[in-house]
Amino acid sequence: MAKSAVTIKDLHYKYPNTTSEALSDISLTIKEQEFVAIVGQTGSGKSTLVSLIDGLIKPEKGDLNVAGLKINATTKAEDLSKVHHRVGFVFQFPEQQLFAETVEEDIAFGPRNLGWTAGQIKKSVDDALKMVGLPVALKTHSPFALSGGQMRRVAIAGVLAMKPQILILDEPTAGLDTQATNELLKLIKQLNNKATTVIMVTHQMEQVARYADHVIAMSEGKVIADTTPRHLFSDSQQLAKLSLTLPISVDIAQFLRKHDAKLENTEPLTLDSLADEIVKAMRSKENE
Amino acid sequence: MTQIKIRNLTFKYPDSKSLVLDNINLDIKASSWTAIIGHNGSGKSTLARLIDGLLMPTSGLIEVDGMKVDENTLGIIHQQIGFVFQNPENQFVGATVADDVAFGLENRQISRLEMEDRINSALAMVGMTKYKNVEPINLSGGQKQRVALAGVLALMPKVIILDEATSMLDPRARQEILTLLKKLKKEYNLSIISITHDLNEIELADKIVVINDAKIAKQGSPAEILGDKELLLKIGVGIPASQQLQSLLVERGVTIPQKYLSLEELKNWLSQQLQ
Amino acid sequence: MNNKIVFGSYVPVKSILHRLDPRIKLIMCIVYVILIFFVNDWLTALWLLAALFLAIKLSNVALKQYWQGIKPLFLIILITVAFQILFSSGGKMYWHWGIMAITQDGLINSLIILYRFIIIITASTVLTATTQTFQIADALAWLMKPLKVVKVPVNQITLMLSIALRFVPTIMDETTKIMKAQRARGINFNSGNILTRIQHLVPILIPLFVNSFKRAEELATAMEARGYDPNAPRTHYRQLTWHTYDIWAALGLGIVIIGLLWIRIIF
Repeated sequence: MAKSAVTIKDLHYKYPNTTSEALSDISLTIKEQEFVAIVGQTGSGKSTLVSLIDGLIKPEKGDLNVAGLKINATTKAEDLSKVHHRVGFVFQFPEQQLFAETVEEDIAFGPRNLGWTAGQIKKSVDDALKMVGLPVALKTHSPFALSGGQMRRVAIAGVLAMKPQILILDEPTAGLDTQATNELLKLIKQLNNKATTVIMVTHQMEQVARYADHVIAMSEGKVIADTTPRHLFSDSQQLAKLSLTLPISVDIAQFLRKHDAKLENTEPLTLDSLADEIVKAMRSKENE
Repeated sequence: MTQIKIRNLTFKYPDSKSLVLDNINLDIKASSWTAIIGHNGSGKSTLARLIDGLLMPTSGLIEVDGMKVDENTLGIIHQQIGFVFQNPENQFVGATVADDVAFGLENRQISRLEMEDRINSALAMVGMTKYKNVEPINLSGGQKQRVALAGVLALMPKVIILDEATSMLDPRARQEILTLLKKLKKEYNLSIISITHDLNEIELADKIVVINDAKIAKQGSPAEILGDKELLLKIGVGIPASQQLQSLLVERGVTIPQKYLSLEELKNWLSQQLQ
Repeated sequence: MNNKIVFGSYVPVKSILHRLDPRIKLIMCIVYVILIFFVNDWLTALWLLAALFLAIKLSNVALKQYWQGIKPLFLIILITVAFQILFSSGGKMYWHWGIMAITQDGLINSLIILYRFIIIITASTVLTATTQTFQIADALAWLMKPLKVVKVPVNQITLMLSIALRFVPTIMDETTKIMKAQRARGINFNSGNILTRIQHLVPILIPLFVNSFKRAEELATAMEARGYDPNAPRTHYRQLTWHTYDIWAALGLGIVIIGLLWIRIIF
């Protein structure tokens, strides 16, 4: 059994000067090396939850254990900042946070804040650039002179350079075209394969179906489902309640089943497995 | 009937050598839905801005309803062509929803009395009536884009240009806006030009124009363009799910009658086969 | 979501003050602030304080909420007052050390400053709590109208002002977002000496500027696409109309002024 990367117990959170809880009574476990998708409508508490995991805000009640660090209402600010040594957070539209004169300096910002040596910093910058597939020659360029897609990669490299054990991404593919989206997801999956725990907030059910091992669905500050993608997509009532869409492959399968097609697996998570199912059903029909 | 006529259109920025658009010739019919697709930086956004007179061509001609787009006709062009931009936040001028819809009317010097009616009906068209006095900070991205659309509709345009107008929205809001556009187009006989790389949005068009390296690489019906996998991959748009499934089935030895089926057509064909 | 009470924010409740025309409220606020400088003794001070309490009462916003709005500024007020006490001279001396001294005049002066500070801040908070920012912009536009005669581009200034106000919450949101992102990258805004703290502003201010320029550019294009021409005449959707209760408010202001003058003459 894999060790847990994040455990959350009876967590409550309320923003200052507000009356209703942004998160109420959250308990969950994320295992090491898992690829977790967090889904739910805008305002359901997804961003608050990941901010708590990254120690950017403190819980009001309850306990978190993030990569071995304990966080609760009484945790001091300097202990909270230790979380950033182990957790990386790629915000939505991260290219909007670039600031340095050169790509190199911007990527080095995180490692420098963590107090690494010059040698470590240099190596981490080079590694990060390589990981996101940008040429090392770009180091001396201004980040503001790059194309939109390249800026996004530099911003992500800035987080990867901190070599996080847990990587949080909030809608990392928002605004990218299909090709850039696929490349980025491939990169995230590679990191995941190399032992990084990935927590990705997303609205794209295709991405959940294709990449996630574990999905957490939220609504109005509560966890509504904490399960596998296959299980989530088979529960159409719950999906409707969460107002989530189906991945296209599951959508087609359910449409066919509604029209009396006999498919064995009604939740094919990829188009590939859907094609297999359809071919199987066609063959068995021919044999009748 | 041709509504927008583009002839030998070339554009480059004054301080640059390379052409953003190179000898573009294009006709857009009245009450049609045209999708313009291409790589980031292919010039598709520039083309949209040129049609609306927000940029002036280096050479060549653009006509909207027989009227040449130039400095003297800008007022009329801006009224006849409504433009919805990508970022919901950065096109919201007014302090409240009503003020924002009013902005274009104020510029056209519509009287206060008429304004109220036009604002009310435009908000009703996009389903935002009950948000009339709400401030932008309390609206979602999708709601802001509806307001942007209302601001455009209040001017009673003939053409609406959407410059990646749904790309910053979540899938649900995006779908809602597309459904709304479909309805509005039909009810008010609008032409729609959408610059996009969202496949769902592309599939709504009756004509697709592919721009690559400053030139029109191909134009045609959805079947002609969306069936051309090589081209789609080259411009980074990706292949529609229906096409992907179709080729996966063909690989597995299934014979499908037509080369291109839309998602709906494919679903129906499959359900007939499996019934 | 945004129901924090901060200095200068609008409190959306119903009250007589909320209903008043923003122009009369702006005038009342300006006149009242001028009146503060005519205070010369306990009685006049109390008279204006009473007027302010009446306004607070009529605003239907709890005193506690005003206090929460003013609290962040209190430290600045206290420091100013402390300087005033320690560094002014005259009258009887109670204590001294080097150039610092506590004197009778110093105490009285600082008391006056404390009074003015609190009253002015509270009065303007009453205005902003009962009047939405765009209404204040409308009222300012109306006040500036006479300047058209001397060729001041009032319409452009007004539009600029209302757009600027419209984007204040947007930019505040963005600042929070950028700070959060940089904190996630390991920066600690609460540590280090003044120099490092100033350096820590760079990763916030640069993205903020870059984004704002981009925003301005996009906004300008969007405005042009909607037919905006700075030199062309425009009609106005938002129109202010006077009501009877605005006259009552003006009358109330008159009473405050006359009362103040009367107290000064009689006593």
